[in-house]
Parts: sequence; C-alpha cells; structure tokens
Amino acid sequence: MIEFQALRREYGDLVAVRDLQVSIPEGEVYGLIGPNGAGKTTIIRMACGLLTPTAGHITISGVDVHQHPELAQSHIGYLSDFFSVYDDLKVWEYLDYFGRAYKMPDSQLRLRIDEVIQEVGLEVKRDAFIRGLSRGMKQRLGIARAIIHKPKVLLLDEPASGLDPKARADLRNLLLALRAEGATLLISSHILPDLEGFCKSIGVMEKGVMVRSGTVADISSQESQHFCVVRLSWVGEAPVEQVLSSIDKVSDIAIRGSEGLFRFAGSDDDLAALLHQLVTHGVRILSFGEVKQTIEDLYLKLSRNEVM
Amino acid sequence: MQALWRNPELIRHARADLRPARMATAAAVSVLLCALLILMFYHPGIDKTSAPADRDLATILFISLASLQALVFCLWCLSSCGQAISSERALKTFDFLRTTRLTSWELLVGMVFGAPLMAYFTLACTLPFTLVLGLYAGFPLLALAATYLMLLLLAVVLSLAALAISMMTDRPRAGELLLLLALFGFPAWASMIGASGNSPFPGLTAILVIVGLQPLYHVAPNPYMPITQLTHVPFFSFQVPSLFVSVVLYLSVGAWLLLILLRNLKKDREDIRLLSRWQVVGFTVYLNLLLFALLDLRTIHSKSSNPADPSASDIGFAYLGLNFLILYAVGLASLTTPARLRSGWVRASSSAAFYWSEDGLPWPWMAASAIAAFLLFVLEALVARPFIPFSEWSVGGLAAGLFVLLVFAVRDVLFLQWCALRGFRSPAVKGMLFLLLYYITALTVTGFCFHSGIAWFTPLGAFGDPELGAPTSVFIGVVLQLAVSVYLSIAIRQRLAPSPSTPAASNALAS
Repeated sequence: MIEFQALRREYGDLVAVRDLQVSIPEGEVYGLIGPNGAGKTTIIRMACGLLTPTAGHITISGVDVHQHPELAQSHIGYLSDFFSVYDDLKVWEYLDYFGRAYKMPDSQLRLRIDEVIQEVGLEVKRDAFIRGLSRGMKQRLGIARAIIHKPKVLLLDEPASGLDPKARADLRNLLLALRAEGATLLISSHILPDLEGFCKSIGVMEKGVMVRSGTVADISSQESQHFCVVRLSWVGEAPVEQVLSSIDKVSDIAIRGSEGLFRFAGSDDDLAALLHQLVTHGVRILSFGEVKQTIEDLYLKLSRNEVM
Repeated sequence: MQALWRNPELIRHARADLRPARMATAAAVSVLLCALLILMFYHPGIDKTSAPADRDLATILFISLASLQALVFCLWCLSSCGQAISSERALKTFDFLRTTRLTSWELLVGMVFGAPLMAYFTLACTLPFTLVLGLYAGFPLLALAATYLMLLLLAVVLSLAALAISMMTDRPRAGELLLLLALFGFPAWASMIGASGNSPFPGLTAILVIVGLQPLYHVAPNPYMPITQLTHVPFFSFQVPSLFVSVVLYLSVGAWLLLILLRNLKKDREDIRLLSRWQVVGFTVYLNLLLFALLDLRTIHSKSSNPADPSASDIGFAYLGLNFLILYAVGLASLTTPARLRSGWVRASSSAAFYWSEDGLPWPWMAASAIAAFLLFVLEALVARPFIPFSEWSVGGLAAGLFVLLVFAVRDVLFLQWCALRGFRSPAVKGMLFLLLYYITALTVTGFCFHSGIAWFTPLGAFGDPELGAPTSVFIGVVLQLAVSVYLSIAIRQRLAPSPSTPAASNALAS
C-alpha cells in the first residue's frame, strides 16, 4: 500500500532521510517514532508529494507519488501538526471546498459532507463559522478534511500536538474508528503514549535513519530475546536480593520494600528455574511476571542501544 | 478543465469574501464615493458662469473617476495576489491545497480571479458611473470597452506577477514593495526611453496602455508631450497602433509568468525553479526578439551622418549590455541547489549528460543562451539589410564582446554556485555582495594605478572602447577569468564527490 524505496532527502549538507526502505501493507497502522529532527515530517511530506526526494521512490496504492502526483493524492489524506483553517468559511463550506478540490461529484459531495461531519462529531457546528471553533474542534475538522474524499491512506504528522487531554482522547477514538474502517494509517509522533495500543507496526527514526521497523510484537519479542524486565512482589522477610544477585543472568536489581524489578537475559525455562529457586529459598511470592513493554520502552531501548 | 465558475478556489473566495453584508458595505461605500465625487462638480452652489460646459465636466469627471478606478483596482489586485500564497504558507494551509487534486492551472485561475474578487466587485459597482459619464462626454462605446478590457488585461498580468512573487517569498510585504517599484518605475523609465527625441525604441512607450488608448478617444496629441504623439509605433519595422504593441507586450509577459507559475505553483519552495534550462534559453531568445521588434531601424544611421542619432554600433553595444544582464539572469536562474547538484552528479558525473541535465552546472546553459542570442542577432542584421548594410553592425566585434561578457558572467555564476555548495546562508545574496566588493575594489585600484587592468578584471573591455582596454588587455583578462573558472569548477567537483563512509554506515544502522 505504501512503499518507500531507497528514499533519500538532503537539505544542503544535511541528510534528513537516508535510504529509507519500508513497505506498509494495506489496513496497517504504522507509527513513525523518533525525536524532533529525526526525519519523520520529511518522510510524510515526501509521501504526500509535498517534497521531492533527492533520490528514491514512493508508491501509494501502486502509484508513484512523484510521477503521478494528482492521481496518488486522490488516495491520500494528509494532516499536519500545527495548521490553520479558513476562519472566514463555515464548517460545511470548508469541507465542500476540499471535496470539490478532490473532484468529488456534486451528487456525492453533500451526503459525504454530512457523513463526515457526523463522524467527527461536529453536527451542531455544521453551519457555524470556523473562527468560532475550539482548537480540538478545528483538529477534528482537519481530520474531516483529510477523509472527505475517502482516502485509502491517511498520513498524519503529529496529529495530537497541542491538543488537551480531552481532545487527544477524542482524536484517538476517531483514529480507532478509521482503523476499524480499514484505512491504512501512517502516523508520526514523538509523544509515544499516543500510539500505544493503536499501532500495529512501528518504525524508529534517529537522525534520518530507520533504526528498526516491524510489528510491535516482532520488535518486542526480538528485544525480549536479549533481555526482559521482571517485576515481583512477596510477603514477609526474604533474601530476595541475595538470591537474585547469585544468578548471572540477572542484572539491574531494584528492590523497594516487598517489591522488586530486575533485568533478566535468559530463556523462559531459565526464568521458571529462577522462580523455583526463589520459592525454594523461602520467598513467599505474591506476583511474578514480565513487564509488558510499551512502545516508549521499545523506543528508549532501541535508541539507547543502537543510535549514538 | 473546469469552468471558471466551478473552480473550487474561486468558489472558496466567493464564499469568504462575497458575504451579503460585506457586499452591501463595499457597494454602498463605492457608490457613495462616486456620488460624492460627482456632486463636488455638479453642486448647485457652483458658479455656473465660471464652470466648464456639461460635456467638459463629464470628460473631467470620467478621466478622474476612471483613473482612480484603475489605480485602486490594480493596487488591490496586486496586494491580494501578492499575499495569496505567502499568507497561506504562513498559515500552513497551502500544503493542504497542494495535496488535493487541483491542478496548477485550476489553482492559478482560482487565485488570480479569486484573491482580488472584492476588487472586481467594487469595479463592477463603480462601472455604471464611468460608463454613463463617458458616454455623456461623447466618447465612443468602443473606446470605453477597449479601456476596460485593457484594464482587465493589465490587472491579470499584475496579478500573475504578484502571485509569482508571493510564491517565491515568505515576506509578502517585500514582494509588494518590489512589485510596486516595478509597476511605477519600469514603465516610466521605459516610456521615457521610448519617447525621448532620437530613441531607437519608440515601441517601449506601449508599456503605458494609455498612449495606445488615446486615439480611440479622438484626443489630439499634445505638442509639448512627445509621448502622446506615439500613437503608432514600429513593430518589426511595420507601423502598428501602439495599443496592438501593448497587447502583445502584456500577453507575452503574461504567458511567461503563466509558465513560471504553472511549473512551480504546487512545488515546495525549495524545489522551485522558475524555468527549465531550455525555457531559460527560450526566454533569452524572447527578450532579444522583443528588443529587435521594438527597434526602429529607420532611426539608425551610419557613423557619417548626424552623430546625435544612434548608429548600428550604438545599438550593438546596447545589445551587448542587455545580453550581459540576460546572461547574469540566466546564470542566477540556473543555479542548482547543492542537493540536486549532488544527485545530478551521482547520476551522470562521468558523462556529458551531467552538463546538460536540469541538475547540472549553469554555465553550459549560459553559453547556449549567448549562442542563441548571437545567432538571433545575426539573423536580425540580415533581415535589416534594406535599412542598414550588414557590414555596419560589426558582427565580429560583437561576437568577441559577447564572448568576453560570457566568460566574466560564467566566472561570477560559478563563484555563486560554489558559495551555494559551501552551505552559506542566502548564498546568492552573499555571493553577489562579495562580487560587488570585488568589482568596486577592481575598479578603484585599476582607476588609480593600473589602468589597463580594467580589462583584466572587469568585463568593461568587451565594449570595444580603447580607453577601457586594448585588445591585448582584454585577451589577458579572458585568459585570467578562464583560469579562475577552471579553478572554481575543480573546487565544485571536489565538493560534489561523495564521502565513501556515509552509505556503509547508514546501511549498517538500517540493518
């Protein structure tokens, strides 16, 4: 659905995106994560046809974005981080304008405008001037604009930037609904909790380089092969730290009261053996389990380990 | 292609600008202003004996109102279009337009007619007043229709120019200022040149539309104003109405602006390149052809006749001067961004294709432009044989002069390209300042103590004046500049060579 082939973009001596090679299948929600200046926005702007790559190609639904930009753009919905809307238009006029700009037939456009307005929850503001909308409402209107022409691909650049928690939750629900409808989403963000439980795949960007790309589960299990973080709790006095310290696969032990965290670099069998050892040393275990890694953990691991 | 009234951009502007309340206010204000202006003249308290006759009064009123209308309308178009793109960029709404399926043409049409829509509406509100006054004053309807058609043409060309500036700049105010200067300065300067006594370019007065419109109103030329007598001007040696030349000028300039906008409107600002390399050569040919079209060959005499009249060699030097400016403009327009230069270099560094690619160095295109200009000049000299013998043009001297100018222009442009590769901020501006400093120093030093050095270090020797440089000095100058150009080319090539470690490192990281 979205293919980046040897994509490269330079600004003078700075290589903003270096030889990116990623393929995002249809219906996938792909999170592009990385710090500011990593090259996320450049990638999304090139994917929209807003920036010309220095080298490489981007195809969206099989259409080369830079050879046939207008055809490719009919498949794309785009939303940037901070943006303005035409304050002197009414909500429906704004959507009508973009519907026409995407060359939607008049017969479908009116119905679609009402449908989209309902989808983003702006029914009561349909005939209101945009200048009277709140920031969150404008963001929702931006999403409505991006999906007015029923694009197959949505490219969202930091869509939650500058939104309050309520508006962020609304946006999340809206994107979940779009995901359920089968849209392919490419979302860039440096606010990682925004992407949690939402993206199926992620790509970690650092200084223009794609450090790691794949499904969250795959990356997580790959990382777990190296080590996992285990949390445990117990009751009563027990030599937990002593037992853990005696095992060479354990590191970074942190004990606080009757709770502890440690890193474990071994197989599942080794972990079961460790639990058995704790029990045989008289530790009355209350809970014991691997800490599920969030996207944020993964990102921190990857960036700490692999990018200098 | 969509019909104009179905253009989404135009509809957007119509919806935003032509709300009933705004329309009513604009209409009321413009009608009130017109009515007040008329009342000032027709007030019953005015002494009827000293007042001019009704028809004369209508004429004065028509001229005042139509001039005011034209001025306000043009400035309004200029201002609206001058901010159309840059303000959208500032608001970050332009990217959304660029990702729609609107073609550059649709976007352009929508902006040119949409951004100043209120100006068109105001003009429409005041038009009945001027039409009635004009007809009452006894002017033919054809003259009035031609006046407003020319006003529309002028407004469209100005809107295109303003839009082009808005596309290229982030600061619309600076763009507007530049355009205003061009608007008031250039036509005044050109028409002054055109109207001056022995001017070989009387057709330049056609830049002012009013000169061409004058005969339609049956107004007698003013003997104290030479410009009013140029109702017919030579165009390719045929006497044609000045209005015709005005239309040709505006249409051709408008067509170039249209081409520039259509190529670049949907591009990112960093990717904007006004014209392709071949189009740049075409623009050189256009300017040279225009110069020849407007040249009145009958005014040119051999050196033996009246020395006040321009001779063929004077025209030749004017041609050299103009082409030096054109070569500089071609070079500046062909400067390539470091990223594109590098990618062009990676693709085709080993073949001659690099020199002729869109991402190559500017100098081959400057040379192509100089050759095209020279060949066109020879052709024009051949065509002009019935007026001036071919030998009087001293074509060989002009070729040598053009070559000298080309060498200096190439050196300067290569220097600017090198500045761009060095990663300076605003490399063209900084480079131009360095060059200005260089020329001032060279002229000062050679002026005081090393007079023959003028031709060594500046292109002034190209103009064939022995005081500015003997042929030997000019030759030394050319050799020196060629050496500098070769050195700059080597420096540029060295900066383009990729560092071998980069791709390997990136692949290792990506894997």
